[in-house]
Amino acid sequence: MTSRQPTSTSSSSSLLDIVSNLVSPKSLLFNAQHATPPSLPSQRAPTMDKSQQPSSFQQLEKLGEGTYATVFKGRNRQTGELVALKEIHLDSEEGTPSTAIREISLMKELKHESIVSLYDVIHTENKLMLVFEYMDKDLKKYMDTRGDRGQLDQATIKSFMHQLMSGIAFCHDNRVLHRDLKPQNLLINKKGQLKLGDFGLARAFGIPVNTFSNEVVTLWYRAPDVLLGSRTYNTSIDIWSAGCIMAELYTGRPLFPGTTNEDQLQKIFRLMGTPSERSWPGISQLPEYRPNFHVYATQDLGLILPQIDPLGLDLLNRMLQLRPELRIDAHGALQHPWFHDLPQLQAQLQQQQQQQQMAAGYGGMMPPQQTY
Amino acid sequence: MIEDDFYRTSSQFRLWSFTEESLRTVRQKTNSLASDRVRIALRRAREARQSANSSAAGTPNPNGSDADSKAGEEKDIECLTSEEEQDLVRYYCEQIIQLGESYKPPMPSIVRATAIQYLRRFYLTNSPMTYHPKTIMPCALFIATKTDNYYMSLRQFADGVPGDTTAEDIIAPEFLVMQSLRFTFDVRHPFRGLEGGIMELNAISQGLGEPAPHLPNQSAEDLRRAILSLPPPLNTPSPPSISDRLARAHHNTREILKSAAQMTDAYFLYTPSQIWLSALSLADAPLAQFYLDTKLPNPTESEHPLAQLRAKLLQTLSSCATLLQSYKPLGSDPEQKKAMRRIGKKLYHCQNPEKVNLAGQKRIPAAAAAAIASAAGNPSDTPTPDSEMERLAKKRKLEAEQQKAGNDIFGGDLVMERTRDRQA
Repeated sequence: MTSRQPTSTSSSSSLLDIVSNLVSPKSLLFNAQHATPPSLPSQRAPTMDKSQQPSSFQQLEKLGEGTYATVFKGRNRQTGELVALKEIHLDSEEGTPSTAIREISLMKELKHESIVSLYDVIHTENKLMLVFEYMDKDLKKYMDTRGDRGQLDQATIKSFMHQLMSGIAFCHDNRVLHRDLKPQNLLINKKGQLKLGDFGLARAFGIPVNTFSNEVVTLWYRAPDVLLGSRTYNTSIDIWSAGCIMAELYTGRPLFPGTTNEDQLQKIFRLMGTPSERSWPGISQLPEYRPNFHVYATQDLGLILPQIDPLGLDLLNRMLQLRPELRIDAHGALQHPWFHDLPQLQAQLQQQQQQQQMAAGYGGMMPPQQTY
Repeated sequence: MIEDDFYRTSSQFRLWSFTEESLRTVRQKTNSLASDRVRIALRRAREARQSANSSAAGTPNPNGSDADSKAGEEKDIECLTSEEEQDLVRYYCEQIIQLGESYKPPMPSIVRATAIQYLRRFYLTNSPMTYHPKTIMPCALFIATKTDNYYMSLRQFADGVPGDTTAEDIIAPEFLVMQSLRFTFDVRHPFRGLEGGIMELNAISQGLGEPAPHLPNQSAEDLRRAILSLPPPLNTPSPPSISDRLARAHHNTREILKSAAQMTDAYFLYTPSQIWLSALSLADAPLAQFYLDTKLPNPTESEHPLAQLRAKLLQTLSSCATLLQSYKPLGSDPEQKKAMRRIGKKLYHCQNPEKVNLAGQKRIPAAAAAAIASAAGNPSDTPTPDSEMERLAKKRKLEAEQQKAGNDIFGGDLVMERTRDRQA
């Protein structure tokens, strides 16, 4: 089991599974456990395994470094399963960082196939280690390596967007805002699954939703209402981020790469049009509103996204509404006609992948990272 | 999915919901395991002391000056009962309310409620004889400030804790607590449901109500008239207006949720919506009935299939209401205060000496957990900290010996005194 092939045998069936599993999440686990050879790790195995211990994970290369954690690739010595080990730096001044506690807290509640799974929490000496389901790449890296100058094909875009929206819908149903959706926080595995990760900034919301910090969400994916200083934002902020990500999947470039709060607003207005009290009643009451905003006319998004089809453009426009209350919600987006032909597209995609795999030789012989 | 389905996926439902019977069983098991260990530990401590004494004195001296104390110790050690443990934990839950109140500004009720549930969950699998609640209580509250987004620095928090508790004492048991909570920090409180219910009732009173699902022809005006003609709540003067009545019901229900719902087993036995509806029925029974009428048909006047559900719900709500009513605050009850002093004295004699220096030793839970984990495996979802800690008893005893003069930990005075007594 030195060079494990997580998906070569199962990927052929998995893409179709994903679609059907959107209706019935449990069946994914079920299928994964029963319909595939023993080499495929069952999703929940590590938590159930009573003989789990920190040393039973072989720590492999570093995958990334965050503000409060370092992420390593790891391997379960017993099962050979790859995992992501998120090592939390314990602050001797404050104990376990609150971001870590909140992330653990949310991940324990959010069990969904489009949300990365937390298997276990392990404590060693002065470190806390979160054991996550292993994902091969984040969306940003995936686009850099896979896409044509970062652009992805239609079927992949649609599949990713559907998974993104169902993950968001599940969060929102459970009254959780992600607040930091961006390509770096969306994780992709070899089965073509996309999952939401990094809930360090996420938080639960209730009634009323206010007094949140407006210092969240990476600038480029930040909703205009948040940029304007609204502190009563809601689920609609995640939808805006998802809209920005959708456009980026088509172009390979961030839609609104602002440098400062003002620049970010300007980039948004230049494309979406400058809002006024007439188009957005109450906007002038927001703290960052300036009466002297440069007035831009609304542009046609289709002009900068020549590859997008009319239905996709319609959905994108509904997600990128400046007024938060006009933005489509996650369930509404999932119902959008753009997704109607997803099953057919995924069947095609699956065929393509099979052909690629055939061309690349028998899956078991390939180093895992080069499947893409 | 309906709201109930979401609740059923929550960790509160999956891991922290019980029947009365299963709850009793869990506590009995924890109590008897801890009692056994206390007896073993105290015997071991006694033997260690005896051998130390005899080697120091050169010859055994069974009839010497320490005969009295020895005779006392030879008696069978009386451990806390499960009921006494629960009383003690409830006392420290009340202390959480007080401690939270003492900060400026006072901590939000929700943070305190979360901490109380942490403490109650912690003591399902741990005994106060093993870990004294006074060392666990501040830690539970501090963790709750982190989960509920109520930022406070550890220093600031520690300054508010009475006695000479240091910041380090507070976070010393942090991992132990986190592990005992099985890393589930999300507590589903009944407060949010109450806010929603009151908003609905307010809307109805303003003629903005939605018809009940089983009465599609009901108009907003019908509903408004119905809420206005409700009989007044029992034993209270008729409120001057419906908005006053709703405000009063809101306030009184909240008070029940902040006190009785926290101090009883309500969260373990009932769902958040059952809890707030029961509390509302205690605060204003006709209003609670009316609210249910807008959701489910009344079994006395309907053959509707949902009427059966309503009848079942009423039973659940009334047993939950009885539970909530059973709570008497300690401060207002001299009998309970007396009992608490007695339990405190009893605990003094049956505190496990091998666990005493929890906060005095640096980061013991961390080191302990790590040692155990590497020795035997330690998956987070199946922790039994009481038994895990037991494995370290030998090592801990050694460390305890070195520390016996010990730091005076938060409230650790009683146990420390005992250690000193023995040395003398």
